[in-house]
Amino acid sequence: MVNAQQPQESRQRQSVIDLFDPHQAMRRSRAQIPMSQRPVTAESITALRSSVATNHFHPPHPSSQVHVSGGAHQLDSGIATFNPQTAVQPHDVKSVHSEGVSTLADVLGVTQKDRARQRRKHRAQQKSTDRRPKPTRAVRRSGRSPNVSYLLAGGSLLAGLVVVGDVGSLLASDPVSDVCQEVVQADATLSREELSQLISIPERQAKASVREVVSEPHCILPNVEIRKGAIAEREAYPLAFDPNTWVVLLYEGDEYAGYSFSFQ
Amino acid sequence: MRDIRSVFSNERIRRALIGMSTLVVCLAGCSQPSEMIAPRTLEIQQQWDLQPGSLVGGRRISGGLGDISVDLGGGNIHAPFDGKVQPHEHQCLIYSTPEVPAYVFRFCDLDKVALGDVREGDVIGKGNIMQFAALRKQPSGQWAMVEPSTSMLERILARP
Repeated sequence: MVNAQQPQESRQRQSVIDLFDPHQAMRRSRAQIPMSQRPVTAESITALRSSVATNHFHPPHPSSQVHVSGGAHQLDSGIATFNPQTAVQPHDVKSVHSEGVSTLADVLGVTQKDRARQRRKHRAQQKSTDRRPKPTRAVRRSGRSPNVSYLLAGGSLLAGLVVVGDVGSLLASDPVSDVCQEVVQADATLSREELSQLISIPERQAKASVREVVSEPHCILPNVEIRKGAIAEREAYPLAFDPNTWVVLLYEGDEYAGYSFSFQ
Repeated sequence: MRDIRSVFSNERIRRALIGMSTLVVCLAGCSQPSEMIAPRTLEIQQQWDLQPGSLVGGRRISGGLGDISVDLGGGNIHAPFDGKVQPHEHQCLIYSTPEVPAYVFRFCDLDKVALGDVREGDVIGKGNIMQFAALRKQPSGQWAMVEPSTSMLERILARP
C-alpha cells in the first residue's frame, strides 16, 4: 500500500491506477488514508490525457500490472476505453524512474520491452480467436432454422414422389406391340370394312366366324387365364387407317369372347 | 455421413428443390382429379336381391353372389395389366384393360384407391376385407359373374 513516505513518482502512478480502479480507491479510503495523501495530481491527469490522446492505447498485459475492473472505463469522451475481455488482474506496481511522462505505460512504469510483449500476446490472442472453428453455413444463415431445412427436405421428397407418380401416370401405356409375344404377320392390318364387320359379331360366337372376317393377326399376346379353366388367346391388329390404334381379340378355345381398342 | 443441413445449404440444391416443388404444384393443378374419372355402370346378368351395398338390419352387405372375399390385412392390390380404374356404386371399383377384352374386375371395400389410368403393377388400393369379382361380357351387353382363376387373383394380390 501507498504511504506518505513514498516518492512522488509512486504516488503519481497510484493516482492513475485509482482513476481506473475505483474499487481499489475505495479499499484505500477504507484504510483511512488521509485526504492530503491522496496521490491524484493535476500533472498526472494531464500527462495521462495527453498520452492517450496521441497514442493508440493497448490493453495492458498482465505483466504490466494494470487492472481495470468492471469493464470499460471511459477517461474522457472519445478518448479511450478499455475492453473488458482484455482486462487483467491487479498486481504490484513497478516504480517509475523518469519524471517525464509521455504515455500511459510510462506513467504505469511499463517499459518498451513490456509493451512489445503485450503486443505480441495481443496478436497471438487475436490469432487464436480467428482459429476458432467457423460456424457452418446452416448456422450462419440467419433467416432459416434447421427445422425449416428439414421441412423443405421432407416436402421436396414427398413432392418428388408425387411428381414420379404423376409423370408415371402421364406416360402412355405400353403399346400392344410391346406386349406381343410372337409376330404372326408383320404387315397385317384391319381395314374399315373388316373392323365394321368385326364389331358386328356377337360375343361367344365361334372363332371360325371371326376368321371369316379378319385374316391372320399381326401378333399374338401371351395366353392368360382369366376365368378358371379357360385359357384366353389374344390376337392383335393395327388399324390400317389409324396405325396407333390396335384391336385386340380374345378367344377361349373355339369361342370368340370379345374385342377391345388399345390407343397408343 | 454428410450433414443434411450442409446439403441443403447449397444454393443450387435449394433452388432445384424450390423448382421441383413448383413443378409439383403445377402438375397437381394440371393432373386430372379423381372426381373427373367417370363412374362405370354395368348390368350384371345374375340378379340377386342382396347386392353389395344393400342394408339389412342396419348393416351393409359387403359381398354377394360371385364375390370372392380376400383378407388383405391392410395390404395393397395391384393392376394386373395396364388399364383403367373407375368408380362404381357401393364403395366398389371397376378395373378394365384393353389387353383383356370382354372382362372387367370389380373390387369393393378398398381404401386409398387410385382412379384413372394405371400401369401394370400399380397399386389400385388397399384394405382389409376386399370383395373381388370377375365379370365377362355377354352378347346381351350384360356382364356375367364368372369364377376367377387363381393365377389372375395371385397377379392382383402380388406385385408382378
